[in-house]
Amino acid sequence: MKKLAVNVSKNGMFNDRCDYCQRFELLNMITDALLLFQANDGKVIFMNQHAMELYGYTLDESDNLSIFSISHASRATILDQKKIAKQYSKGYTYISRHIKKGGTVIKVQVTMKYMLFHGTKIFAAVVRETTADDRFREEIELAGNVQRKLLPQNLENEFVGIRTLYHPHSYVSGDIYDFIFDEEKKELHGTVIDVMGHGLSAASHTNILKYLFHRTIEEGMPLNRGLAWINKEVMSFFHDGNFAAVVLFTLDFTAKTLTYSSAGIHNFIYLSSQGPEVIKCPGLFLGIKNEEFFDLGTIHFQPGDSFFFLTDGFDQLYDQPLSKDLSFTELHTLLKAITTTDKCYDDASGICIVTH
Amino acid sequence: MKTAISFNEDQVIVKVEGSIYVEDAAVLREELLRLIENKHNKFIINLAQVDFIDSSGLGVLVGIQKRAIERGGGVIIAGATGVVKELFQISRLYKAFEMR
Repeated sequence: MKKLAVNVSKNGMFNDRCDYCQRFELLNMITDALLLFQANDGKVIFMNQHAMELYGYTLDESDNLSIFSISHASRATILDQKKIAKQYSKGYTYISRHIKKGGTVIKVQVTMKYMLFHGTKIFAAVVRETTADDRFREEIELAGNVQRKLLPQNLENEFVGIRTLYHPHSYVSGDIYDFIFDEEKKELHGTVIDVMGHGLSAASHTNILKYLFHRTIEEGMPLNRGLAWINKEVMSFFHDGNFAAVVLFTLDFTAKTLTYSSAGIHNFIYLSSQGPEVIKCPGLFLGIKNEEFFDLGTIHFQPGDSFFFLTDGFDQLYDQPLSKDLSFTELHTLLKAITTTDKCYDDASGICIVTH
Repeated sequence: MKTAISFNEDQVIVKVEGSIYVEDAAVLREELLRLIENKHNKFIINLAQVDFIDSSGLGVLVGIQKRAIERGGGVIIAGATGVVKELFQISRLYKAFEMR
């Protein structure tokens, strides 16, 4: 600990404590920057290795530093921080800005503690740069905004009304939906996608699945064959236990039929004049078994009937059986409310469709 | 969630109790991965005392199954009842595991 040795000789504080000062080697093992500075004049008496790397100073350069040259805050603010820190026996944590050697100002979280050190009053400050964390968080928030903007919004036309649900557990979601209304054929093609897990990796997988959903429509594949094709396509993307749940559906407003095929979205809600009914749709998740076949189901509907395709983020969060008197709007409102409660600990997305 | 691990010749018997949510799934995953690192590849996962398992939990089982098969073994799911059994049926995961 040459730096300390220099300071020791300069300050005369630890002249007879060389053995004791081996403890400073431990301080270099801390992964955060650590500063020790004198309480009376702010002079830095020790910087650990991480602190020197953070601020860009060499050992010799650090000899002439004080907290007033390192902190970007005014002298009055620093004195206030020191005053407050004296009152917190376990240390006072605050956000501040510090200055690197070249003049770059960085945002830091400081935990400062007042203590006696070899009879000298000092402050120990653990300093953590927050800039990188902030930038990372901003990037994820941005990715979440992009994901949200890429999702189709509510739709209303003479055949159908669509209300969407989108609730990322944390900024970006592994659950998304998509739909396309084909005006010429009077058909609504839709999908709900739930990739296991949360965050950016799950969100990336949703983009692949969304692209493949579009391909199945362009190719005019029957839904169950389309699902089998998507399954084969994504096998190489899913490993180590990852998989996805996907339901594909088409509403044909000429024939008044809903056709659906599911891989791991186990049910959907059908709301008719008879009341709500949970329609089960068995199917293996995507990404588990290469050669897999999927069922195709059909329901004949009447204008006014509605369908709710949801990811499992909603499971167990609403009372079942559902009330027979629920209207489309009431059920959508109920589901929307779930996404704003702290009970919703998972990604949750869905499409609510009422036929006209 | 609680787990109890025992051994029967070359088989690892993992008895799970309670509900398996995302945090539990992460714990279970690490426990099973440690066993795989210790050269075990045949597992019986007893879910008789499990009352709920979410997709993260299923993901752990699927992941371990893949690794076990790669190493010449496999995972047997035993004792699933109620909601858990229904989940394996409706998700057709019985195709991916031997069920007892």
